[in-house]
Amino acid sequence: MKRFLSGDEALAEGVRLARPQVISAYPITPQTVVVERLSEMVEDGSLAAEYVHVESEHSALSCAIGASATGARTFTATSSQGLLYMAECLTYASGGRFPIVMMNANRATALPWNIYGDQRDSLALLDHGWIQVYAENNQEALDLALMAYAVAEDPAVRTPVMVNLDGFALTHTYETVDVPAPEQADAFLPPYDGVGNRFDFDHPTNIGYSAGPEYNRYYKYWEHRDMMNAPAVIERVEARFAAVFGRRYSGMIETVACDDADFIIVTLGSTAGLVRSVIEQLRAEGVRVGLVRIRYLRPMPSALVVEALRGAKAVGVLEQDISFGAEGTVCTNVDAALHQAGVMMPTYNFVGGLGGDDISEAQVAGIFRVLQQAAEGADVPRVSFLGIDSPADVLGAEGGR
Amino acid sequence: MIEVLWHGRGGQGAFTAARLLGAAASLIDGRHALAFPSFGPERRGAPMRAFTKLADEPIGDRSAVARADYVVYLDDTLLGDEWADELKPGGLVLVNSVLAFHDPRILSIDADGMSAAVLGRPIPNTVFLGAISALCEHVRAEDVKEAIRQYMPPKLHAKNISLVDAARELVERLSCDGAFGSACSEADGAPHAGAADSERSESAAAESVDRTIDRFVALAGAPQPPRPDGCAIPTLRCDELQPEKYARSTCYEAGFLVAKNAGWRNVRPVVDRVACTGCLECYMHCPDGTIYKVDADFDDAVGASTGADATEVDGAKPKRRRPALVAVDYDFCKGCGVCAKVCRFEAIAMVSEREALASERTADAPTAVEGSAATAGIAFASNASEQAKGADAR
Amino acid sequence: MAVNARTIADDEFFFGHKACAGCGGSLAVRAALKVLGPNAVAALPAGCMSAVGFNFPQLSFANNAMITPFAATASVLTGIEVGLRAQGKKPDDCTVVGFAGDGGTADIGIQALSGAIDRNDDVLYICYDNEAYMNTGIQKSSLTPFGAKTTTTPVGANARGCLTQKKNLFEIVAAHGIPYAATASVGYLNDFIRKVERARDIEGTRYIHVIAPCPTGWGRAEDEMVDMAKDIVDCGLWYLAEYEGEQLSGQPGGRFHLSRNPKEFGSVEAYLRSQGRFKALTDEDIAVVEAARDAKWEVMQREWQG
Repeated sequence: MKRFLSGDEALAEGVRLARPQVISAYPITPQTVVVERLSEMVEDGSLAAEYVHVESEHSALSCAIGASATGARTFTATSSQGLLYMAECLTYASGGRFPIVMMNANRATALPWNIYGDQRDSLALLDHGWIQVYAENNQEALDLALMAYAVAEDPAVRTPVMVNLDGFALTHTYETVDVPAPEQADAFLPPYDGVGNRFDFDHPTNIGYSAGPEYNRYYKYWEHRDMMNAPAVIERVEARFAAVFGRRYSGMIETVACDDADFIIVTLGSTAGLVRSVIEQLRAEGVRVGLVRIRYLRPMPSALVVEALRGAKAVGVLEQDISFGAEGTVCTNVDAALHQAGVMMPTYNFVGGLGGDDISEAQVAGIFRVLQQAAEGADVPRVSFLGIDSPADVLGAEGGR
Repeated sequence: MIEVLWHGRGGQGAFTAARLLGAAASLIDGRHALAFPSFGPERRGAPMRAFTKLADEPIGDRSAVARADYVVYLDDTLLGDEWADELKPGGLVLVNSVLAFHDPRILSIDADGMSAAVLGRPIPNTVFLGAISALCEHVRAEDVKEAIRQYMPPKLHAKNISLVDAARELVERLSCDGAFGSACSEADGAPHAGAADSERSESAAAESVDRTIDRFVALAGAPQPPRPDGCAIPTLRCDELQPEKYARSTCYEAGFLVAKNAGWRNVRPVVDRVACTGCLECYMHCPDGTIYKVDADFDDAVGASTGADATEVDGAKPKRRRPALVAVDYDFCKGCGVCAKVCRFEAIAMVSEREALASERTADAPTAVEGSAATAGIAFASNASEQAKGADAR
Repeated sequence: MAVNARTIADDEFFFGHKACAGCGGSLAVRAALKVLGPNAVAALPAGCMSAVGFNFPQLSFANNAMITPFAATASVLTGIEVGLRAQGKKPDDCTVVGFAGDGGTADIGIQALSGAIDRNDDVLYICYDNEAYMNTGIQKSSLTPFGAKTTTTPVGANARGCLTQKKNLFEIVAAHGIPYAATASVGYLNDFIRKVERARDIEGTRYIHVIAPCPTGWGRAEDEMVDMAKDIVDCGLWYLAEYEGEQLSGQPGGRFHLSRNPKEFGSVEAYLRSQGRFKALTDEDIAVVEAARDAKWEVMQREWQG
C-alpha cells in the first residue's frame, strides 16, 4: 500500500512487519517518532510486542540483550548521545552474538549540543562488532528493518545490525513509501528461535560469561569470521526479498555510472541522492563521473569498492564525519581497501554536512571539478571542510555561475 | 636474563616477594627488572603465580615465565608432579617446607617456621628473598634490604631484614654441606617427599600439644558417601572443547566444570558422625555448597555396621537416632572453616591437609584403627569405595 | 511448605566457583538459588559473584544464568522476564532473579533498579552487600560504612577511613512503593531464606538487601564470616526488616515491619574493634556510630512495629 511517510514512520512500519516480541527504547531526537509509532502499534494491538519503557539507552539495549537471551526477537532505536550512552552494551550484544536490530538516527555528537544530522555517532562506534547499514531513502529504511532481521538471525552471521537513517534528512522527511502486506512479510521473515544462544529450561545454559586469554581469541576470531559471512547472506536475503516484494537491492554497495567514470564520489546514506542528480547534470555536459554508495560499512566491502573505483582518475570521499587529528573514517576505510588491492589512485576527503549543515548541488559539482583539477596536476588538499576551506566551494560556485 | 617464578596462594605474599626482588635487583643503575602477577579470577587462598625477570638490558617480553632459573613455592602443597617442566636446565626449586625432597634440584626451607619465630606469624616470602640473594649473583643482599626499607612499612624493616640474613646463612651452610645443587641428573620426575624425615617428626610432635584433634585426624581419610541421587549441581567434565562450536556465541551448558578447588586449602573439615546431631548448620552455612546431606539409607547402613549409635531396633532394620548427617565434597571444599565454626557440638574440626592425606593412606590399608569413631570412618571408606570407583569411571 | 534445613533442596546451583574461602556473597547466592529452584533465571552484573562464577570453561551456575553490563542488572532482568513472557515460555515456578553487589546496586546500578521498580517488572533483585567494591580489591562504595578503611579511603594523618555514611538503600527502594522489600543477613540465614521464599511468591518487583561479609575486605578470619554477619545485626548496626507495599499490606504508603527487635544490643565497639577495617576509629568515632545507631532504632522501634 502506498503511503506518504517520514523515515521514522517508514522504519516503524518495517519493524511492525518484522514482529519483534520485545521493544525497549528511550526517546531522543530525531529517533522519537519511531518509538511513538511503535507504542501506538502495541497499544492498538497491531503489534504483539512487550514495549518496555526503560529509563535510559543503556537500559534499552541491555533489556534487549536480556530478552534476546530468552530467544525473543527484539528491537531498539536511538541516536547520537543515546548511542554513545549505550556504547558499553553494544559490545555485549555483538560479543554475545545477540541478533538485535537497532535503528540509529544519525545525529551530531556534543559539544556543542546539536540535534541535527551527521554521521559522527555511528562512525565513532564502527568497531563495536555491529553490522552497519545506511539507508538512502524511506523505502529503503522500511525494507532494511525487515532484511536486517533476516541477516542478523542467519545462523552463519548471528550478529546485531544497526540500521542508520540520516537525522532529519530521512527521519523527518516525508515521501511515498510502499508498505507491504503483513502476509508478504511473514512469508519473507520466519520467526526467530534462538536455538543455541538462549536459555533453556530443559537444558539450562550459562550466557555471557568471561573467557580468559587462552579462550578469548577464539571468540573474537569467530566474531570476525561470522561477520565476514554477512555479504553472502545479504545477497541471498536480497534475492529472496526481491522474489517476495519485487524490489531489488544492490548488496553491500551501490554504484552509479562507475564503469567508464574518471571521477567518482564515495558516500553514505541520503547524500547519495544529491550526488545522483549532479551526476546526471555533469554527464549531460560530457563529464564522466560516477557514484559509489556504500550501503554496508561493516563488514567493509573492500573488494567491491575497489572494483567500482578501478580505472578512475581521482576519487572523492564525501562524508558527514571527521576523526579528529586524522581524516574522515569512511575515507580511511576506502584508502585501506585500495591499498589492500594494490590499486593506487588519488583520493580526497570532503567533510561536510556536520551538525545538520546542508550540502548543496553546487558543492558536489565542485567536488567533481576539484577531482578533475587534481587529475590534471593541481595541488589539492587531502582533507577539506565544505563551507570552510574546501576548493569545492569555490569551484562549485564558479560552476553554478 | 634471570627468571623467577613464584608459586603461592592468594594472600601469601608471592607478588610482594616478586616485586621486592625486582626492586632490589634494579637498584643498581643499568640493571633492569620486571615483576608482575598472574591476574585471574581466583581469589584468596587459590593457587596463584607471580614473576620476576632480571636483566642487564631493558626487558621487552612481558609475558609469563614458562621456564625459570628459580621456581619458588611458598606452599609445598603446590609442588606437583610437573615441577621439573618449569625449570631451566641448571635451575633450582626453592620450597617452603619441613620435608626433605631428596632431589638436588630442590632446596627445602622451613620458611614458615623461620618467619613465625621472628614475625609471630608464618609469612614466608622474605625468607626466599634472602635465599635468592645468597644463590644468585645478580641479587645483592644489601639491595634486598634496601628494597625492604623502601617498600615495606617501617615497623617491618628490622624483622624482615633479620629474616633475610637468617635465610642467607642457612643457604650458605646447606650449600657447603652439598645439600643441594643444580648440576644433577634430570632422570626422575616427582620428588620423593621424606615423610619419615626427622624434621617432620619434630614438627608433628610440636603440633601434638592439643590432641583432641586426633580423633578427627583418624577420621580424615574416610572417603565420602555420594551426594543424593538426582541432585542438580555443576559437575566436572572432560569434553573436548572445539572453538568452532563454543566460540560462536557466549552460551554454553550450565554448570560445566573443568577444575576442582581442592588445591586451595591446606586444612580440611572432618566430621565426627558420632558427635554430629544432624542440626545441618554446617550444611546451611557452607559458602561453597561442599557440605551435603547424606542419603538416609546410607546412614542406616553405617548405623547397622557400627551399631554404636542405634537407639532402637524396628524389626530387622536399625533406626538411627539422627534423621540426617552430612558429608564433605573434598574436590571443591576450600577449607574456609565456616562449618567447624558454626558447629555447636564440636562435631567438625579442621585437620591439616598433610595429616589428612596421611590418614587417607592409612584408611586405604585394611588395618584396624582404635575407637568407635574411627571405626565409623572405616565403615564409610569401605562403603563408599565402590561409589568412588564409579565416579572415576565417569 | 516452609523451606528450612530439612526441607531445602539438595540441589546446588552455585558450585565450583572461585570465590575466596569463607565468602559471604557466595553463601547468599547459593542459599537463595536453593530456595528459588531449578527454573530460576539469574542475572549478575560485573562483581565478585560473576567474576568467580562464569569463567569459561568453568561455569558454576547449574541453572540458566547470565552476566549483565555493570549498570544493567535490573534492565537485563526486565528483558529476560518480558522475553520469556512474550513468547509464552515462562514456567509457573520461574523466578527471574538478579544478584548484584553493593556498588552494582547502590552506585552504578541504582538507575536501572529504580526503572524496574517504577515499571513494577516481575523480578527479584537481591543485593549482596559486602560494603565495598571487593571484586576490584576493596574500594569505597556508597554502602561502605563510616570509618571503614578501604583502598580508596585510606587511613592516614588526614583521614581515618570512609568519611560518609552508608546509603539507606532499603528505604530508597521502599519509597518507590515496591510490592516487597526486605533486609537480611547471612548470619541470620533462616530469616534470609524465609524472605527469599516470601519474595518468590509475590508478583511484581521485589528487593532483598542481604549483608554478606567479606573476610578479606573486612579484616577478620575467613571462618568467622557467619559470626560477623550475626554480630552486625546483634549490635544494631544492621537490622532485619520488611516493607510491604500498599497491595500487600493494605495500608496507604505501605508498611515497614521489624523482623527482629532485640531488647538490647551487643557492643558496637566490640563489633568494630574485631575487624581490621575499623582499626583506626577513635573512641569518639565509635561513640558517634553508636549514637547514630540509637537514633535510627528509636525511629524504627516507634514506627516499624506495625
